[in-house]
Amino acid sequence: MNLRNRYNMVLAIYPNTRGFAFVVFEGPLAPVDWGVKEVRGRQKSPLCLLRIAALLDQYRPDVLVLQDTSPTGTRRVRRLRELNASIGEIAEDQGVSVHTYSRAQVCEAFAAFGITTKHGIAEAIAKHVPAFERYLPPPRKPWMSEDARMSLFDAAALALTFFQSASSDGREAA
Amino acid sequence: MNNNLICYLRPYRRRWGLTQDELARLLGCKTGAVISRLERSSRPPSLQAAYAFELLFGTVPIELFPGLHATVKDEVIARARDLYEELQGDTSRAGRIKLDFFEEVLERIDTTTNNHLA
Repeated sequence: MNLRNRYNMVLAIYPNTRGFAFVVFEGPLAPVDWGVKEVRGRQKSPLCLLRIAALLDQYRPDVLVLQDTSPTGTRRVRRLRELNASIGEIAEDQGVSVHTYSRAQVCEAFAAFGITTKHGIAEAIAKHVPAFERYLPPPRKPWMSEDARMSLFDAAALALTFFQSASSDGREAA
Repeated sequence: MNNNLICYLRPYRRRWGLTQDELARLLGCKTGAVISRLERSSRPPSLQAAYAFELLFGTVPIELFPGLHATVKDEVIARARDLYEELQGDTSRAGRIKLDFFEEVLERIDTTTNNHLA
């Protein structure tokens, strides 16, 4: 982090069954804040939205990156599809530009570096962003459920996919 | 939109996995409430704390607290301009020295800030 290299603020949110994970970046390798928020009870989605609205107020990001849960994007359960859409609406109301990427697009972005698995993506992120190193869960065995910390890497992967596509768009425009 | 955070203490603390209580202990404080106030920018850091953060994170206070720096800069520039205006027309030797000083200060503040942000 350096005053000389400050970029626009990018917030990536990845909702999951237990709550949501978020990462705020100020450049591809400069995370400003991150966390995994667990929400329990019947009012999961409204509580998630409250916390996400607070995050949007706190950081006032320029860009919000979400998973593409449209019919052509990644398939998620109805609650998460609706939650994702509501997050996008809140952000657009605040004038935040919303970008969405499907799981396939994220995998494609990392495939350029020879990484094809979810754990591989998490390892690559942990290697390049030292702040996330201590959150890297051990490789999941087939009989294990997914570690809650993995959602943090899913959110980070979305943000890094945005940075990669933004830089390639810039190159194409140049 | 304001892209720069007012205080970058939180990312630096979390980068090294420190809790607010641990960082407070390093500063010689009893609880993490002090760090929480600094991170929320509800209280400015003491000079002692700013030196401590520089030692701990190897980062100058202007990098950690850009919001505070901007506020102080704006206030100092405004006061310096006021005094500069008041001294206009003062033909005494002391008056001329002070005017030179304020011209130099205002120029230096602009140059150093631009260098930091370039």
